[in-house]
Amino acid sequence: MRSPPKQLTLKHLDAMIADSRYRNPSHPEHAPWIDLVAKGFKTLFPGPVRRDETGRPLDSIANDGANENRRPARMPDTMFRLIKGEAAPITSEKTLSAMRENSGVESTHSLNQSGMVHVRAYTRVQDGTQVEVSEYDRTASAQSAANQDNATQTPDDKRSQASVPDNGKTDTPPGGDGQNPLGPNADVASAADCEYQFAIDNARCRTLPNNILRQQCWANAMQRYAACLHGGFLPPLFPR
Amino acid sequence: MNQLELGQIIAIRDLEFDGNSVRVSIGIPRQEPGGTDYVCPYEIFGPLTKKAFYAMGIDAIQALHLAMKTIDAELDVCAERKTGRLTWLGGQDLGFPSWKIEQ
Repeated sequence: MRSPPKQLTLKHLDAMIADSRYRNPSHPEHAPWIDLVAKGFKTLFPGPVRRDETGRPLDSIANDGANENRRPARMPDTMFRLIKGEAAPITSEKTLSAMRENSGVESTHSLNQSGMVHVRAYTRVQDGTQVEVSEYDRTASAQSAANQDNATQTPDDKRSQASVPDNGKTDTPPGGDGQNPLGPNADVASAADCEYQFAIDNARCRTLPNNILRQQCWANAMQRYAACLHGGFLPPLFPR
Repeated sequence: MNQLELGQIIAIRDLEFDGNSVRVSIGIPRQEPGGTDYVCPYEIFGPLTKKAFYAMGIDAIQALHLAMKTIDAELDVCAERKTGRLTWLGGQDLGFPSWKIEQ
């Protein structure tokens, strides 16, 4: 596993984001890699991102300490939660150790011999309320980790779970009754959530070897991004 | 050059908002380095909205086409639009192709 460079720059983070470990959700090191990138962002952008008059982020970032709980504009919500320690799916003990060494921060997770991740008790904020999460064990796959913790879900995951309670068997499209497809108490996904959703779709489209399928995939991925911004029903990425 | 970088601009549309301009700029669709597909970056810059993103496509035309539809979606949810005072040539139709979003 590659360690973060000593002189971390945005260029390094761009390279890490381009890495298949970041883009491929089925990669065994996907979750810890995202965590590592998130820590990199935290190092580079300790405060809110300052932008120039064209809206581009400036290299020198001010950190007045007053906005610690504000997410930088380009950082996906999931990353921000990972940084804050509200969720940290870890799939590899080796990766975890490397991260501990590099960050100097002890994680809430540890991997045991049977491949189960033991998650120590932690506190997270949900709907503005502090929630104490008791310790628990979960399987080490990134996907099951994502299902365990709502904080790591994409807008698509949230919609699926909110509207399809019986394992995907439903006749009514989510939100088809004019209700919020995330459920009455759910927040509409933020732009950063939608960008994160698109990053995942983007990675999935790239895996398609066939030009026709990839062309359809790009069209669907962009439409899903647009639908996500509107808080509307996300069409499938790969229609049957 | 990363995907968000606008690069050379091929098209600009200036929308109006309370006497200010909301400028939509589209970059030249370009092939991804080491890849086969195309990325078309765009920026929306207004008094309340600063957004840089991109659309992907199997070729430059698809990337450009999807960028324009995505821009329509971005404008639809931007802060200026929510005030109801974002216009193009005095009208509410901003003139971008759009998706029908199922709510």
